[in-house]
Amino acid sequence: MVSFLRGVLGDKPELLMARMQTMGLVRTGRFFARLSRNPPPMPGKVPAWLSETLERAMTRVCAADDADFPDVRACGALDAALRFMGGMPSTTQEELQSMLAILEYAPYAFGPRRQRLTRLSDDEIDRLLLTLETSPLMPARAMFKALKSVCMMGYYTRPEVWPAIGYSLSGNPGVPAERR
Amino acid sequence: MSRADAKRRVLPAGMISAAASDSALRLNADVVVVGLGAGGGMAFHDLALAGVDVIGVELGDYFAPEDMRCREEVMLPKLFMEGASRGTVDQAITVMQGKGVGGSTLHNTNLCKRLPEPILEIWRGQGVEDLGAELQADFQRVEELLDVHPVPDDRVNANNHALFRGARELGYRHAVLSHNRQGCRQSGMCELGCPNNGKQNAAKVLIPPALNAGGRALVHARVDRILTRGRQVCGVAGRAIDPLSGAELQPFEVRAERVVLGASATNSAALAIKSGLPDPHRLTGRRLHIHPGAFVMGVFDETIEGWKGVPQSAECTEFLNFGHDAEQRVWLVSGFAHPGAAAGLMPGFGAAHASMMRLYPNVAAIIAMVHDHYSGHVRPRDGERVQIHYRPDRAELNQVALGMREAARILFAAGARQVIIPTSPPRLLDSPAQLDGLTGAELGPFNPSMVAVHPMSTMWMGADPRSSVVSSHGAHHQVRGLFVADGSLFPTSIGGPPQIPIYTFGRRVARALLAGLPAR
Repeated sequence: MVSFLRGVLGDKPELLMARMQTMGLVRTGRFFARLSRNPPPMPGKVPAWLSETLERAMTRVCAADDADFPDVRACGALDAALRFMGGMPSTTQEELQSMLAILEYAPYAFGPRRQRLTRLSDDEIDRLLLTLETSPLMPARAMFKALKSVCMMGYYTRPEVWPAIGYSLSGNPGVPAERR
Repeated sequence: MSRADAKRRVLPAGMISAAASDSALRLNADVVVVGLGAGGGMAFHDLALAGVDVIGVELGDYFAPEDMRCREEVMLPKLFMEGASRGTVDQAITVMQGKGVGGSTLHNTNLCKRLPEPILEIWRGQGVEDLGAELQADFQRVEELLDVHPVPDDRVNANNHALFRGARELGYRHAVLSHNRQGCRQSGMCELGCPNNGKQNAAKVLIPPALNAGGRALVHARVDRILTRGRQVCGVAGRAIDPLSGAELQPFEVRAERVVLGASATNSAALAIKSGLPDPHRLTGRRLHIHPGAFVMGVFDETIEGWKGVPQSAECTEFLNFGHDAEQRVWLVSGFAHPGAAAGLMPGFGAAHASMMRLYPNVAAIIAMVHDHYSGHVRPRDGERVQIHYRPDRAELNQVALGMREAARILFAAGARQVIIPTSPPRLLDSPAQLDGLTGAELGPFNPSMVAVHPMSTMWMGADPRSSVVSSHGAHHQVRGLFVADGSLFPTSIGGPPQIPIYTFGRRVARALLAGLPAR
């Protein structure tokens, strides 16, 4: 598959991004789904393989600096992120899922190793994310921004995370207890 | 939500859900108002109280005060267009716009300012008429209706005090802002919808009396087309939308000889374009201004807990000037966000980002918002989505840089030990001496991360149909019976919070429409 991808997309991320723009985000997502024999992006229900990509990316986007931050997998952050995505228009949901499909294969174009994202080590994913965040290619930055937004909204809205950042609703008399 | 759920849903008398109907809905009225935010809500209110048979059509949901949850992940997708995912086409600028009965007045932080005289003077120069005493009287009446008053000293929280302290220290012009609050319990949850019904917003002040007066509201209804017969408007058509899943349901149509667009500067213009309305000079959707803004965060030794208390009560206008040749055009206003959104604004990711999030209780923030001369344009996309084409040019980026520098200077003067500027890579500054290196030349898309909450100017007023889309009182130049009553009307950026001007122009447009109705 690697040689096939290289043949289709070439070595350069610029070529990949240009090809993506030509094909459109959703078609590119569907292409990667077909390529990996996975279900395509579908509004209303994120296919398992794309949930895995999001969760793996989330473990690095929301990586802790110390043990008092709860683990992404233990605090319901993925479900919260998926619910947040579920509140968007169906076309946006499909695009975000397509973005996850592209992210899963982004290491083939952006490095650091020609492998799917879910098979990279923590350090390798961090390098990939930094490449996307600082890329001169606007679509790469847009992808990073969308990913970060969904991850942060999933993780930092979990009450389990709040003690680590000093946030609380309980000390606020203006917040009705039943609506926290 | 199933159709049965929608039917069971308790809505105020006079309000129905398009999603609850078993079949295509066909309604008739004298006037249909599209969008029930500040402008559309005011037009709906004034027309209903004048005895006009009016239907307000709203894409979003109706929220009773007890529906407001103090949780970002629950409320942001409900209260914001596109589930809070709206942005410019390159995604570099996040554009936050409200949805639901009350529109952006549901989530805004209640800032109230009249249009400044220099802006009115510019508009007069562009051919907008009747901007004198009558408009000021309208401002006055709107402020009375909404109970606008300056935020009392004892309700200025630590985040806002930081702006005051810094601006005072530097000798910068600053002021306490006026808000429209009544029954505020200082929850700090304004942007998620007030859990205590303490906002004098459109949903609370305008919609109930309008419904009591016989106005009808149709919610969960997305208008896709303005219907015309030759050059005469004759109604609107669209689709019912499931408020939970967003799924498109059965069609609806409202027939009326008058249509008021109050769906915001993005969606009203996109709807006009999508409907193929005559536009011989290709003006609709152009001139888009958005007040692009960047957050600057100061880290203090003392606890700030900016999420508590009344947000956004302080402004600095030292660098806000109006006029075509204004060299400084930045409005500095305190700002804050709850953890999910704050984490998105904090630069970077991973462990370094987590370390910065630990500083959250000690952070005070200022938003540097540009009174933009640059303009973009808006086009339709699909469903509720629009294409927002807006990429600030060098002159605007210079203003962003100026705003970030001065916001940082204020935070340092207020006692911040570190200032975080969300450029790429982020700047973590220990002293104001490091600020001079921050110039517009270093900025660009995604650098810094920017947010816009004030789209305007896409169907602007003027006397000349060759250079404006609507008349000075909101009547469309090309289509009889069509009016515009939202921020689209503003010929320029206004350099401040738009809600009072939008409410006021909603009233003015309703008055003009009433004057043209046959005697009843």
